[in-house]
Amino acid sequence: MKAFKWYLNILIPLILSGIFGACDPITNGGDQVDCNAAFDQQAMFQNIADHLIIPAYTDLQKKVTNLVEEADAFTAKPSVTQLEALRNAFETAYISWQVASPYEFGPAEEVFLRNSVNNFPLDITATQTLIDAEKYEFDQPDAFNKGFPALDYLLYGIAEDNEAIITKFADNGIGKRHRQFLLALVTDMQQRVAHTFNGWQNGYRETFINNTGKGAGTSLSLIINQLNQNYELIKREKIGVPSGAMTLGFTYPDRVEAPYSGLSKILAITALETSQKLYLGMDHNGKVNGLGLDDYLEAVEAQKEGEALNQLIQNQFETVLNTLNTLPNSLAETARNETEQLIEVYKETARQVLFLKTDMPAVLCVSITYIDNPSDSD
Amino acid sequence: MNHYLKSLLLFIIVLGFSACEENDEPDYNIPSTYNFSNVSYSGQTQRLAMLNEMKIYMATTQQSSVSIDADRLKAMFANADGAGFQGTFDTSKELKGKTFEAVTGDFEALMDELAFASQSTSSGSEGISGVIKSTSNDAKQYLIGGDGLDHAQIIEKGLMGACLYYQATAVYMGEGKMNVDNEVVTEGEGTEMEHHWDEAFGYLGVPIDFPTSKENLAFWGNYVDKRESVLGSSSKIMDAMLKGRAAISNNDLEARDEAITEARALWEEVAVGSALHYLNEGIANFEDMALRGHGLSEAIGFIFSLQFNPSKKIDNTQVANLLNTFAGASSFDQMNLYNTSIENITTARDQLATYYNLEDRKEDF
Repeated sequence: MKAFKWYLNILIPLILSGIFGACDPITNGGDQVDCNAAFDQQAMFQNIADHLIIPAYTDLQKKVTNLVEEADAFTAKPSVTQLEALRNAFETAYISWQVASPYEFGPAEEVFLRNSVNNFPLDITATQTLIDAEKYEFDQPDAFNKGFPALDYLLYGIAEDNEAIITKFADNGIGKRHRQFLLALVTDMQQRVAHTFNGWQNGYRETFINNTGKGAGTSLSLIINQLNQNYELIKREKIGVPSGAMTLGFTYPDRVEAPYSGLSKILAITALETSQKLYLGMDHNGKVNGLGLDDYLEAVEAQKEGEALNQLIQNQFETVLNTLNTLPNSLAETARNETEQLIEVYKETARQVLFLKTDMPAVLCVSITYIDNPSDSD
Repeated sequence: MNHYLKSLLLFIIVLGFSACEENDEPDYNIPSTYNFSNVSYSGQTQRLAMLNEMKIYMATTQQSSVSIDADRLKAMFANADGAGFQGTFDTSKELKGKTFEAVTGDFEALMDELAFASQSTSSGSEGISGVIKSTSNDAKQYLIGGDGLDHAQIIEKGLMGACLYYQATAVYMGEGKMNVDNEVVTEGEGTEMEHHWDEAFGYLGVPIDFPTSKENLAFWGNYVDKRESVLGSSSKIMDAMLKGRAAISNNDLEARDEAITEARALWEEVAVGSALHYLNEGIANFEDMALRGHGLSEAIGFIFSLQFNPSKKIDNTQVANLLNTFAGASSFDQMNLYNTSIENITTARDQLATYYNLEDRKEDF
């Protein structure tokens, strides 16, 4: 075997490239790029760690701590004033979460952060089962009975009006169970966020910055995969499902994110802006625009059908955000009354998937390693 | 060694050329019957049998002395305790779980309505549920609700759409079930992709040598056959199913996708043709309330069904408008067939025919 192995090594690729090159229509618009072009990966990772990820977790840690404090105050003495304060803490923390959502690797992955804090739509029956059983353990990442969606229900949807909601937390029977559940819920969220924040403070930042290369598990692969997975959740769960675009035109207004507080639109906008900024390597306030995937695509001179791929992606982010921003109402109301407009947003978000998930990984020589939307079996 | 090298290179070259060869005619045989290797769709056959038992149970209400139990009917729908099926079915197979989720509640509400109407011992008239005898055909009588609906017909035809047609055209022919492995063969089931296609075929309810044989036609199979005279639907839809399975077995995904497009369009046309047929029945038998209520309820079921094909030519708003035109509402619980008119039915029929370019044949169904 050894005697002709060198021979095969040359001949087979030659033949293959000759044959497939001649007939394979998929050649990225005919443009060849060199994904080994010089690019300082470590500098990009450092920018993303120091200007995006760590600030996101720092802010989230602060907001979730505030949430626990307000939950303590509310459960100590339920009142309309305390309910309003707790709702404010919930809203700012939920928005802060959108900024931290894409980074589900390393410390966040260890505590299943994304599934633990934002599986939606909430399964009310499953949530009620936890409350009734007084078993406040949130150790099933795949369950839909916890996190911000459960808070959205408890603080806005559990009863008709403010007075009725407070009553749900007041007495020593059901009220006590609701109070205990609420506290256990926010404490669990706080612990998971703290674990993630501490992980980045205590060594993971360096691990992340030095984890160069393109294979599975490298920081480039983690960033690109998680940017995409998070983006697809935005596309499908926040917009696609309620719009009916994937369900033969049957709309599901109740399946938006945060249906009771009505925050769906601001949450979706924040999440999309976060995706955009991660791509650009820009901090949340828009003050620092450091090295990002946009610069990487420029470095490898990625083209698609004669246009710079980077420009196509940037334009598409703008288009998606513009169509989303012009919606007149919450996403639930839009799904009900202006369905076509929401479907349009969905179509625009879907267009970006081709650039982000197919074209970008291809030219940067990274593989998509997660499975989107696993289908059920018969 | 040289030998090994040669055969390897030959293999690579053959592989390379076959990958980019362009042929209009497939280089594989498409059989004339659904007699492929490793075909299995027993789950679909079971679901058709369950729906058939529901149909038989619902039809007992055509005798004014018979009332039915809504809980039993719902148990049959869900293959749950209390279904009292004659046949033996796997516990994992059920209709409800395969029905388009957003409308399962609508069907259960219809089952309640049907059971309620079946309690009536008086004969039916506007505002009063009861059995109505046809004035033109002594052999025919149906349980008609106070709203003029034959609920059993809406349930049956509606489930043909929201369950069988939905599963076949949207689920099994959809990306989630078609973008799957086509290499690993499971004995008796073929590849995953082959199996999914076979399951879609199973929902059509025709024998493997249809249309030569018309034995055991079930649900859609009956209507494919009934629309044959105007649409030529039988061999066309069978050919599309045969083409798709042969394409998958030969890994010709382009032809498979053509077959999906064809099968969806043909199946939709059968639903449309059936709706036109029953709208025509409603017009022809307008003065005969038993036949009007019965026929128009079939039309409601078929038009409602149009929503569940992902490549449908009309949208859900247009479906709602059609129903509204002749039944006075788009949701079942608001409909009324006592208040409709020949004009309204004709308007709906003409509109439906226009959507599908069937104006020239709209009276032939």
